[in-house]
Amino acid sequence: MDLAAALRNASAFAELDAGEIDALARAMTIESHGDGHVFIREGDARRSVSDAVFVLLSGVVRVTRSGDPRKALQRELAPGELFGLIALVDRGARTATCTAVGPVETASLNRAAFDHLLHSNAELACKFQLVVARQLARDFDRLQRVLREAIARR
Amino acid sequence: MGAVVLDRLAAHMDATQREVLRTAMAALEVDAGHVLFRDGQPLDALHVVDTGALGLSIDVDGRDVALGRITPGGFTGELSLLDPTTAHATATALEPTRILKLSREALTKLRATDTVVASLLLRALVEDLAERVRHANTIAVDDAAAPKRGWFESALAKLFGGGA
Repeated sequence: MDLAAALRNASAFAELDAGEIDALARAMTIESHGDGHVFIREGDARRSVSDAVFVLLSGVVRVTRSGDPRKALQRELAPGELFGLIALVDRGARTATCTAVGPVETASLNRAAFDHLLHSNAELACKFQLVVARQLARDFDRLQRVLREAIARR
Repeated sequence: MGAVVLDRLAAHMDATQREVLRTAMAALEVDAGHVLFRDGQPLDALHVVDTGALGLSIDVDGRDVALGRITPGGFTGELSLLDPTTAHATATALEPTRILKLSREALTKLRATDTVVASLLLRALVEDLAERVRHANTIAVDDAAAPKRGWFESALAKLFGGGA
């Protein structure tokens, strides 16, 4: 798969121009994995070069959490979504387990590249921050709606 | 403006950059009881409490259930700043309250006129959201596993309120 073409097709990156997409693609590594591959394990607190954020390019990734018997928090990511953001932002432990359901293609961005994109003051940093903020805001919104339902059940 | 009020959003900004952000925001003064937005209605701005307090509540089978109280420095409507969305609670002024609103349109303008300030704002928002998503995950998980009413409510207040 042509990574730049895949990123161009991902709605998350719609505001990036061709040059910015190419810069992002150069910083990312494309990966193919089979069913059951674990990208991220909840509770993992490793700090290593393999510590990365992922963009789902094709296939399905399931996000699960321990201590969630009703699976209220379980969900399946759609292509174009980013996952693994929280631990990269706050340097804490991983908050969920992310597993391939069937064959999956992802692009990964390691911590150094992520920090570089997020913390430089260029136009690209601003657009990348917008992408990250939007994904986190959507995740937060979804969780608030789950919590609302929990309140309504009480 | 109260310098402290934008501390969370302007965490990475100097005084001049804070002023640029403040200029992009619209101030709104309301009386106690004024409803700023209603549950389910379209929302298009981040609301920061400058002075006073906002209460967030939802209707559960005709009962008004309080979710939290936003005190100066706290804010709500993060997603509406980035995506067209609807409110998931009703926001009511609990006392005479001054709100600073940053609309989605104002952020778009800010990105064009001052990329650095927009970038520093988004960076602070990303850090804040990461913390709150992490916190929200623990509440929801604990709710499903071991519902404890008092703990649940106080955790919720922290999440939805998020005062300074």
